[in-house]
Order: sequence, then structure tokens, then C-alpha cells
Amino acid sequence: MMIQNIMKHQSTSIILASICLPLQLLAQKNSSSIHHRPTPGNKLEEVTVSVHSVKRKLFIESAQMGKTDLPVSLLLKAPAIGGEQDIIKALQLTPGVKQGTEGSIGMYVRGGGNDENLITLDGATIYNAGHLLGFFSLFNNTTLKEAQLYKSSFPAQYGGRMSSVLDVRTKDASLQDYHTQVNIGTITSSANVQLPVVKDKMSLMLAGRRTYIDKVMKSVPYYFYDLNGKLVFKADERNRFYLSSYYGDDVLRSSNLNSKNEDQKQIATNIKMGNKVWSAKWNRLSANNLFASDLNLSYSNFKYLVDGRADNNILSVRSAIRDYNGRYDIRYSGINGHKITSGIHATYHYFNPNIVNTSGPQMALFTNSAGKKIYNTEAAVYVNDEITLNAKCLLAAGVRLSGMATGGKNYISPEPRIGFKYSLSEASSLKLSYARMTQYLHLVSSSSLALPTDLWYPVTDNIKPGISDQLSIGYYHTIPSMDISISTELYYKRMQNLLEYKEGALLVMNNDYEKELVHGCGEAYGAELFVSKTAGRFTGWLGYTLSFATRRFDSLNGGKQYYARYDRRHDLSLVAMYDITPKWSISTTWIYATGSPFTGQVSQYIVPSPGLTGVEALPAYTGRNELRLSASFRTDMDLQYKFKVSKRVKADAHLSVYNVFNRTQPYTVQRVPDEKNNGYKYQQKGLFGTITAASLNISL
Amino acid sequence: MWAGLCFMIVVALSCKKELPLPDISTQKKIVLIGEFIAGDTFKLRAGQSIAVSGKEQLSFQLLEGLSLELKDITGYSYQLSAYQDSFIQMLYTVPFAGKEMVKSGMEYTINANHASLGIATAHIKIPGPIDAAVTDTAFAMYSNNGTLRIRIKINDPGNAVNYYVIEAVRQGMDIQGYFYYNGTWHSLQTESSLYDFLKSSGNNPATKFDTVFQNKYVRQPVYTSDINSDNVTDNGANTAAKRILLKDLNFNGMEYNTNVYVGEDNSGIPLDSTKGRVFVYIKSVSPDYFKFLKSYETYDPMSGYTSLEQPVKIEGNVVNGLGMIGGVSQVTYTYISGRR
Repeated sequence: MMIQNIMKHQSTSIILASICLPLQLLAQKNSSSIHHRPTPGNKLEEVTVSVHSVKRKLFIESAQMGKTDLPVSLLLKAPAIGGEQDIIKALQLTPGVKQGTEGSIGMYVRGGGNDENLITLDGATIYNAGHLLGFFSLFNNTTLKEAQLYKSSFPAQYGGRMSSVLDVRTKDASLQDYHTQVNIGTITSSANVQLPVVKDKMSLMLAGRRTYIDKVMKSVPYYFYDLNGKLVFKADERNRFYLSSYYGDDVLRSSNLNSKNEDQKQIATNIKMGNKVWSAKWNRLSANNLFASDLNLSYSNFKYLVDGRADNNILSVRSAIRDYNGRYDIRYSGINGHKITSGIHATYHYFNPNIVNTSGPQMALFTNSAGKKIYNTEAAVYVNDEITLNAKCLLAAGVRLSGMATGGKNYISPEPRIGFKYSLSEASSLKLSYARMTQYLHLVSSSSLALPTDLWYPVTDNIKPGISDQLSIGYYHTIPSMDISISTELYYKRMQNLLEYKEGALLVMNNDYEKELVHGCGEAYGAELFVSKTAGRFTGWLGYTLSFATRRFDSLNGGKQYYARYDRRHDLSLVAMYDITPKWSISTTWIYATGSPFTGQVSQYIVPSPGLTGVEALPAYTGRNELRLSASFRTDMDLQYKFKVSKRVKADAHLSVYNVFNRTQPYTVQRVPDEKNNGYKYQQKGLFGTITAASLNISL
Repeated sequence: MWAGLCFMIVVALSCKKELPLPDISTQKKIVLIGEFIAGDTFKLRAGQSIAVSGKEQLSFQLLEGLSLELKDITGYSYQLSAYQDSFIQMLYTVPFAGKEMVKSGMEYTINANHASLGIATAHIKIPGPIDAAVTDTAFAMYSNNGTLRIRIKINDPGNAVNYYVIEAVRQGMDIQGYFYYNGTWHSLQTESSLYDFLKSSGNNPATKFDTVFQNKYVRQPVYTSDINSDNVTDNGANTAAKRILLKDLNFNGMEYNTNVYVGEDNSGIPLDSTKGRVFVYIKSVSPDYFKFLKSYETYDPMSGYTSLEQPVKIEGNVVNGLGMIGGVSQVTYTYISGRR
């Protein structure tokens, strides 16, 4: 019997050809056509298996660990600030992923930095995944098919960042039917149209999202937008072609040159930053179904432009990164007990940070600069074999050989990847993994927010590639009758060649960042507990992380070890969704996190002032990051009502409340005068109080 | 499709609350500040810090009852005694001094003992004698400022890493004029009409001038474009510095020439129009003192109020206390500035 459609939707039942069809392949690309097409000549029997049960089986039986693979539909049910659900913010609620500043999309995975996460959209690298200083990700929820986060046990096909890989895939429009979805929110609205261009042959998805901050508040001439497109062409049963694109910008434009400020000067400011991403993929399955391949070509362009003008004085600063990437991946399962994956990747990087153009009499302080143009080639080859040793043991062994050719030096790094699984029973297993990751780019940033001045900077003769080695061990268990999956993982990660700024580093308009950076190392270790329930009226997850993250730099903190910026000892997230009736549902989030560390001033003393004309009080500080902010505790809620507008048009309305109890989530602390005691005190600040918002989603 | 679509937006942003951090338990510490200059007597100032705490008053106080004990590496003890000066109430520190001379190449340990603050200790290593000289001076424009260019030659000893500091301080001075009349010296400033009368009536009284230096010192900004200096590395060549900081990593054991540009201070008075004298100090300093001065050079007094940035920490060599006692060997050059 031929399989008609192996996977209609993630939440619907599917028909599998046979249980013996490679489940691993199915999971890798759960809507990709190549893995679940009929095998001519194979005798198949019809069985019905839910996606959840397949994922549960993989959860136990694969050697993969450290992977968060919750359905996008579930992740996007978590309440969010302003009712703006965000895939990255939802992932921040899973264990091992810590948020930076409240409300931002910064991810600090297992003690790593925010720049140690490889974020890809349909295979193309995204360098700045944020809008509005990083408070929103660039992912339009209506376009998302799946988002897989790897924190350890990285498959050999992934590399280039030390701490995590977030592989985001957009939807393939149906080849038969058209679908439309409209989301109307408090801050953004979005629309998604999916239609078959040539029935059963070609389909197209077009989506857009825009804020209306500039329309609502005229004094804030800011907006951002995203445009997504994806074309799917099914040449035949064994060959498919995909063309995916993303365009998005943040725009701040106050360029009315007729207006004048108090000094009667014409003032204008233009800031524009954004990504342009293209990717094309040819997906092929061999006639005997034993060999599958993906040829992927992608282009990624991130740039920012800051223009300022005051009368005849003009200052323009811009930076650009462009990637041209090609990769070819193959999967072969022709040898009994082996699943071999292999591939070759090459990326040509172009960096041009800090291009400065000035004119005008008051711009003498700023020198014009064509920026430092840097061209690099990064390449990797990999091979991985998943070997079934016996009914209980599975070994995944592979190596990725990566390298970067810079102007004066070539770096090559072998990255072994090993995973081992031992089945304790049908419902539980033990796993062990080791992975080395090498990172050839660093983000030069002074803030946890995504500022226009943040720069990606490649390795050079002096700046070495970052390397992480991570060892993990985990226990996995499922309770099929309750759709519950439980995992606990212990990890130890060692990081080399980390970068930090020197104390007092000069960051603004600096053409030579290398002098401001120092090399060091880091350690992270901890335990994670993850309990998820992905089906039924009651769904959600519980995540708990006990973690330690430290850094050591010879030239910082007197060479002594100190806690990393977002080292939080305990991090607990509970996300619960409950369908009260078919129409009404409620979701809630409880979050507790230990405060992040900071360097505080503890005393001061008097010395003669630098000019010798008076005195000044010199501050004395604690060791680096020796004090801690207070713990964060937050509760969010979302009430959802589903209804039908017409026979075809469905809608769901949301009323969401962020930070229900209006508790301060401290993100910074300031030393302020204490007038009551005529001394000083520390005052912590949070960004957001309670925010209530309504939104409406319509689909047909 | 869109007909009949309506939505309601309700955004209620409640007041954000500030959250006090529980008080940080800190305490006062002994503060020691000074330079031990080879060939000079021991001098330092001692006081106490105030804690940044809700329990601590923001009020500096002199530290009473502090005793200092100074020993050199051979175990020989030196006597340091407190005395009074005019800066006590301004700096909230008491000066201490000894009669003996600081020896270059020697190592000293100070123990400052206080009944309630405990014992603070500083270990000071005095560099060997410095071999440096000013070889040329000239007026020059630098970074759009009129400066005194000073060419300095350093004969680096070529042993371990040596650390050099160059700084300039101007001392104001007054020129007092006198004329002789009727058997008495009269002041030209207060009796200028008498002097003018005598001159106009054909007398030509004898005059004399006396230079009186004020007890007032002003640090002069200095510049350098020397790529071996930490100033160029840290802040660029066009940024005024308090001190030029130089390591011998690229001229160890060699003769080295460098230019230092002494600029105008914040008074806005051109260097060549102000009466005074400029002391140029060329110092070889201990590594920990160099590090302290380097931090002080990059430290921004306006920083450190918020946890969003890492502050520049100025770390001295006083264990269980605060401050810095620097070890110094120096040569000094003096230049008269301004028109008479």
C-alpha cells in the first residue's frame, strides 16, 4: 500500500509505511518529503502513529541528547510580554538556556555567551536575530515549522559556535490547498499566505510582519518589519527544490530637515539595520531509498547604518557582514546497522566593520575610515556513523574537521563528536556524549542588548578561535500513557580562547578592537531536569537547571576565577497549558531565577585629584561579579478563546498578562545616595511591570 | 476576508517598582597612599575608607591611633612618625615620615596597625637607579595644543621588565620686585607710584627681584605618540594623559628615545604665558605601581554607578587595606614657564 501523505500536520495523526522505516530520518526533517516516500517494491502495512509517539521513541532510542525539540505550536502557547509570542523567548524557558536582560532574546546556553549560538533560518546563518534592541526575534510565528535547539551532543553537521545551535525551519506551503493566517497584536501584526502555484508541483508561502509603534506614537519614528518567502518545487517523487528568503529591517528615521532644535539647528537621525537572507536547497532521494542528499546554497547579509546630521555636520557609521555559503550533506543507510551522514561546508565571509564618513566643521574629532575589510573562508568536512551495536546499545561517532583561512594564518580544528545510548527498557535509556565545537567569529558587544554598534569580528592572527569541549550524561524516561517525557542531564563544559574586554576598553568608533580584547577560558557545569507533556488537554513543561559558570582571564580580576555574567545558580520554569473547554484554554508561566552577578563598589577613599588641585574619592570594588542581584520571580498568564468567524475562517483571541504580580525582575543595580542615612545604597531596577495585552489570530 | 475584523488592544503598563538590594556587609579599611622615592626620606599618608553601605555615613574621618612599622628586607626597622600639615583636613589622611633614606633596589614592608581596623600590610620594591635624561626641549604644536616637547633618552638596564612613568607638574610662582630709596627697600607692587615718580624725576633707584614659589601644584596633561606606551594602546595618541606609561618590552637593554609633549592644564592659560616652573619627573616604578597608575589612567570617575558595565578597578598593594605605596627611582628636570 502506498503512502499518501506521511505527515499532514504535527498535531495530526500520520500514516507510516512501517515501524521499521528509519525513525531517525523521520525525526530529522519531520516534514521533509524525502524520508517518507514509498519504496517501490517494499511491502508495507498501514499503521497509525502520532508524531508525539514517534518523538517519544526517538527521545529514548536515539543517541542524541541536549536537544530541545518541542513542537513550535506548543512553544508559542507560552504567555509572552505584550502578547507577542516569540520562539526564542519560549526556548529561554527550557533548562540550560538563560535569558540576558528581561524581555530580550539573548540566550546564554550552558554557561556560554550570547554570541556562542548558531542561529539558522532554513540553513542560512542569522547574525542578528533581534529587533528593537533584541526585545523581539526576527522569526514571524506564522512562518515557523520547527525549531530545534542543540545544547550538547552536537551532530557533526553543525559547527561554528561553541554553545548551541538553533535550527529554525519555515513551513512548506501545501501543494494542494491554500491557507491564510493573520495575527493582530498589540505591537506587531502579521500575515501569512500559503498557496499552491502549480497543484501538486509547486507551492509558495509569503509572510510579512510589521510594528506600528511609529503609527501609534508619532514621536517615536521607529518600526521594524519582516518579509518571508518560500517556494517549494516538487520535481518528482525523489527530487524537491526549495527557495527561501528573509528580509527584515529596524528603521529609526527622524529626518525632517525642516525641523530645528532649540539651538535652531537642523537635526536628523537615520538608523537602519537588518538581515537579508536567501537559501536554496535541492533535496534528493535515491531510487533505492538508501541514499539521500541535500545541496544547500545560502547568502546572508547583515548590515547597519547610522546617519546623524546637525546642520552641515554629517556623521555616518556603517558596518556589513556578508556570507556566501555552500554545503552538501548526504545520508546513507545501505549498511546494516549503520546510518552514515557526511558532508562538506564552505563559507566565504566578508566583514567590513566601522565605515565612517564625516563632513562639516564640527566633525574634526572623527576621522573618516573605509573600515577594515576582512575576507575569510571557513570550511568543514564531517562524517558521522550511527552504529547499532546491539538491541540496547547505539553508538554515534563522528568527526568534523573545520578550519578558517584568515589573511595571515590558517586555523584547523578537529571536532570529535561521540554519543552513546544504552536502553534500560522500552521507556528509559542512559546516554553519554562528548562534543567539541570551534567558533571562528566573535561578537564585539558591550551590552546584553542588541545594539547597532555590536560587531561580529572574525579570528585573526591574534584572535584565536574559541573552543568548547562538553561532556554530558543523561537519563531519559517516558510515560507513554500520559504523554510525558522526562530527562535529566549532567554536563561539564570547558571553554578556551574566550574573549572579554579589557577594563576601560575603548569601544566606540574604534578601528582596532583587537587591542581591547583579552583571551581567557571558562568552565560550566550543572544539572538539568526537563519534564514535558506535549499531548492531551493539559500540556506544558517543567524545567530546572542547577548551574555554575565561571571565567578566568589572566588580565582580569587579578587572574582569579570569577562568575560569568549570567551565572544563575537556580533556574526554574513551569509552563502549563490547559484546555478548559474546546473553546477556552489558559496558559501560565512561573519563573524563578537566582540573580545574576555584578561587580559592586564596597568602599571609597580620598586621594588628591588628578590635577592636584583638589581631592577625589577613589572607589574600591568587590572582585569581578562577586555580588548578586536579587532573584527574579515572575508569573505570566494567557487566556485564549477560539471561535469561528465563518465556516472556513477560524480565530482565536488572547488576553495575556505579563508579570501578573508586578514584581521587579532586576536587570541592573545602581549605587545611589541614601538620603535617609546620608550614605549610599544599591537600588535594583527592572524593565517591565505588569503588562496586559490583547491579540487576535485569524486563519483560513 | 478581512471584513468584520476588529480587535481591541489594551495595554496597561503598571508602575515599575525599584527593589532595594539587601545591604552589603562591608567595613572601613586602613588606607595607605604614597611613593617611596629612592634617595628621598620615607613619606606616606594614612587614613581610612568609608563603606558603601546603608549603615555607613557618607562622611570621611581622620583615623586616630594608627601605628606604622616599616622594615626592609634585611629585617632592619625604620621609625615613621605622624606629623601635621595643611592637607590633613582636605585629604583626611595623616602624613607619616621617617628620617632615613629610601634605597634603590631595596624591598620594604609596612605594617599599619589599628585597634579596630586590624593590620594592613604593603610590600614595596624600589627599582634600581634610573638612567634617563632630557636631551632636548622645544615648543611644539600637538593635537592642536601648544606644548612643551621634551625629548627623553632612557638607558634601559636590560634586566627584568622595567616600567617607566613620565609626568609633569607645574608650580605657580610670584616675582616680587623691590627698589632702593632712602635707605630702605620698597615693594614695586605696592609702591609703584613712588618708583614711577623717582624714575621720572631723573633718579634711577636700584632694583632687585625675588622669586617666591607658591605651595600650589597643578598637574600638566601630557601626550605621546610612542607606540610602546600604554597610553597609545589604551586611549590613542591624541588623548591627554595624566602620566605617560612606558614598558621596556621592545627596548630591553637598549638606549631608547621618546618624545613627551607637556600640554596646558585646565586653566586655559597657555603654558608659555604662565609664571611658574614645570617639574618633569622621569620615573622607574615598581610593577604593581605601574599597574595602579595604568588603571587610574583608564578609570572614569563617572563610571561604576551601574552594574551594566564593568568598572575599571584601581587595585593597590595594601593587603587588608586600600591604597598604594609605589616604589620609585626618579630624575627630575625643572623648566621655568611664562614671561617675567
